[in-house]
Amino acid sequence: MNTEIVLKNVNKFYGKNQALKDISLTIPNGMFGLLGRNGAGKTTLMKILATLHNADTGKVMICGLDVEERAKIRDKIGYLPQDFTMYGTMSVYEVMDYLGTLAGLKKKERALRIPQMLDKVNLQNNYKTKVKAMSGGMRRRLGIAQALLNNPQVLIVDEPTAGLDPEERVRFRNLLCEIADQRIVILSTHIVGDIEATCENIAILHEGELCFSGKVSELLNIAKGKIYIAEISKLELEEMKSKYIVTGMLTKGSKVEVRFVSEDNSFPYARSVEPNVEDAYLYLMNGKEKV
Amino acid sequence: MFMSLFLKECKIWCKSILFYAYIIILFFFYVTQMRSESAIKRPRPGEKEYGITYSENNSDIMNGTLKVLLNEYYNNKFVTYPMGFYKPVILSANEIKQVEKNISKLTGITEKDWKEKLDHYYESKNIKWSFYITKDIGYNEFLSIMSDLEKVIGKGSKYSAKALKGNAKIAKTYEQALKEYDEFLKKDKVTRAYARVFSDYMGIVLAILPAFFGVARVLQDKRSNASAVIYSKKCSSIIIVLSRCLAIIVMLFIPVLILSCFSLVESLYIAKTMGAAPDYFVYLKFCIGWLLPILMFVSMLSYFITELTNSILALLINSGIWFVSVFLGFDSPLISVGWNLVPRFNIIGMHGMFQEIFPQLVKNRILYSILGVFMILISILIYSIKREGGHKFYGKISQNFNNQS
Amino acid sequence: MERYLKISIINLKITFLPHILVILFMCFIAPFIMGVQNLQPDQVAKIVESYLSLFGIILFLPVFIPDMNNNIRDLIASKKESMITHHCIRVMEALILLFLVGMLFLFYLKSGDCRFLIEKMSYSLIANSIFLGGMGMLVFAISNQVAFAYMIPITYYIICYGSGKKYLGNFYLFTMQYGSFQEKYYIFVLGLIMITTAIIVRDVKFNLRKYK
Repeated sequence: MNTEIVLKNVNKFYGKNQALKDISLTIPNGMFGLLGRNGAGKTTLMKILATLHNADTGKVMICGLDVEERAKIRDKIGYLPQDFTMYGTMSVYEVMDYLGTLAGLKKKERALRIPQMLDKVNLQNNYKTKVKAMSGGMRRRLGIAQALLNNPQVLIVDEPTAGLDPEERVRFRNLLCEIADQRIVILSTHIVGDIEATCENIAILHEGELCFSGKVSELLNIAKGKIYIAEISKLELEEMKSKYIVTGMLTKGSKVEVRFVSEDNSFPYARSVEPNVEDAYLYLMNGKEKV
Repeated sequence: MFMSLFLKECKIWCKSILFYAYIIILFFFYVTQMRSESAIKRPRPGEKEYGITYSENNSDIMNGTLKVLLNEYYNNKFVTYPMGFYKPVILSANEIKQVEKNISKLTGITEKDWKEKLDHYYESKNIKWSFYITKDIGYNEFLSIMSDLEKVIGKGSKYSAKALKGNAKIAKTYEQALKEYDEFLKKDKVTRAYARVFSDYMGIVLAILPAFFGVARVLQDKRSNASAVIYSKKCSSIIIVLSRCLAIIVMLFIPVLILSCFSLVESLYIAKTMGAAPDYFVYLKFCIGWLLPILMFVSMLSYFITELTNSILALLINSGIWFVSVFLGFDSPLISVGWNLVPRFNIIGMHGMFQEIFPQLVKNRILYSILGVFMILISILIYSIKREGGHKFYGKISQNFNNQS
Repeated sequence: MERYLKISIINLKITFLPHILVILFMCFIAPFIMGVQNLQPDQVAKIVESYLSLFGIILFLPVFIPDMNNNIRDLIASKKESMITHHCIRVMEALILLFLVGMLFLFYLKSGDCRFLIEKMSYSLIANSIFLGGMGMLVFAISNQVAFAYMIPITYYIICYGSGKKYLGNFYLFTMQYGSFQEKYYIFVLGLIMITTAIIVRDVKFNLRKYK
């Protein structure tokens, strides 16, 4: 059975604005990260995959099915939008029951699946909690639970960690990793840390264009040998910033340890270090900007 | 899947404060309006008066209208209700002349003569009314004069074809009163007469309250950001929209049915004491045939407009429709049907009148039922367009209204 | 001062613009659906009480609507000006708009040789409008539901048309048509109380939520 998502030359316009420019991409099984700034086109792409928007041109195949076959696709996907909530007066169980019905589950299936899913996201003690009384993290977990109800082959999660506290964020990431065991999980984010910790494959969008797609290790390779650390005095900092892309800073007394990107090591006293995803991402973004 | 979804939709309303407010308002209306209606009493010979009625006789209509006309002419104040609101018209000298010409035609007397007679009538109080339509004028000619008058005075005057009957007030005779009583007992079986008035009152509230439900249901999705999740589910748009619409209609209709039972019990009691054989199902028939189309049309129109614009625009439109339909029937406020959304029959009895308007009432109700169903269909269409990302065409409409809600 | 002016202008555009258009439209169609010339005081009162009073519902209800969304409320509340200032400014704006449009309409009636006392009529208009609008605001503040907030004052108005006169006593809306002015004081005061309560309920409730 085909368990891939394939996009071919996808374009999407909003009026004169082109939100997606000729995107071609293959998304394999497992966790897939979609990285990009706010407004880079991530949500648009996610919505196309979730059958909520149409691509203007190009072809999108999900698990061997054309995305135009909405009813069939909707049976195979779970979608968690950016700011998921439900009717405030509904309780957790009612939300699951309602959305489960909409997902086409029979009564027996719902009775079986709902407790399982709520267990999975650690909401087993909150069946009667009303949506309006839930915290952001709880809502997000409820969102995942509802998206998993129909046991989808593809789970699409838009900016899932925005607004969560650090603990919640780690827990949420781990949850997604667990889920990604037998299916595709696409997660979009502008927070590099989320991707670094979880995804094997990633794609980077910039102003509607795909500027990288591949494994995390490949992304790191691009920036290999171009990341340096140097200790400078605070006075030199401004000059440093104007010349290089500074990806990190650590103040040490009157000195600052600066982490920066440089094509060649022209800076005295700098030592080369292994790049992390953030460095690579910033390096890539900066390259795009200069073009 | 449909049934389960439908029940969940009903449950949403059970938890909504809007729904309970609806029940309370409906009940309040019922108690304050319906309880005050009293039954027709058996007339006895030799009573001073038996009430008034409107004559069907052409000559009564013509002479009655003449009296109204001379009266209004004398005060130069012509009452009109162009849109249900009172609008007195005061004529210019030129227009007065045209009216005077028509009065001469109607009475067959010269202008000088009838003017003198009229002044005399109003100045001294104990003179009998002595103006009559001349024999030379037939009913058709009378009608054409009336339409000339309406052109001068304006729409909705007492000379419009619809209003003419209302000018022919005459006293009921004993026989007429007895006949009406008989019809009330035997043909209307008491219960039917009450069911009509029940429908009349309930129609007024049902022409506006359901509108709030259509708006509330659609905006609930928008407000709780729930649309995107629901859109992405497998369930078809037909089932989603249909279950929502039917839930609104059913949930709003149940309280009406329950109230009709109260009214039925009361009218059964009256029928029993009067010795009439009651019609047990008449309330059910009237609720379904008369009130359900109003409820359906109003709630579905607002549902559709809200789905289309994502705004509270529907409240404005529905309030406008309510205003027009409730006040449009003003030229004969007790009984009016036409194509009005809210048919009026605010009178106990008058069996003959009801027989007369019944065919129009049926046509009218069918029209609104069809419109109601049509609203559901286009709501489904719009929902599925929105759901499939038809934002190119749709985004523009909703953006224009978004700042309203 | 400049700040308040700025907030008012923005509100005018974002909060009130569509509603202003609606009431102007209602003024515009008025001469076509009712008599506006040579009216007696009771007939003018009918127009004021049963038509122009609806402006209250249209103008006062939007006061809370821009910050209906909790995120927007949080954002605005985090700024220096408190929510109460915003709401008070909007109420004042609604009042001024109501007064301006109402006065324009009344002067239009005057120019058509209608006979009435302009002070009495304008006071009635404002009293009725504040009453209906305040009722809507209060319901909105408590329930946070737009449809419900419109439903209650509109229903109250309809009940006045029905058998309300018997039951509503001093709070019956259409008293001027029957020549009685006294009740307007009650309606005016209750209207003000409802608006004040609405703002208090809204903003106090919101503050409590913040500290929860």
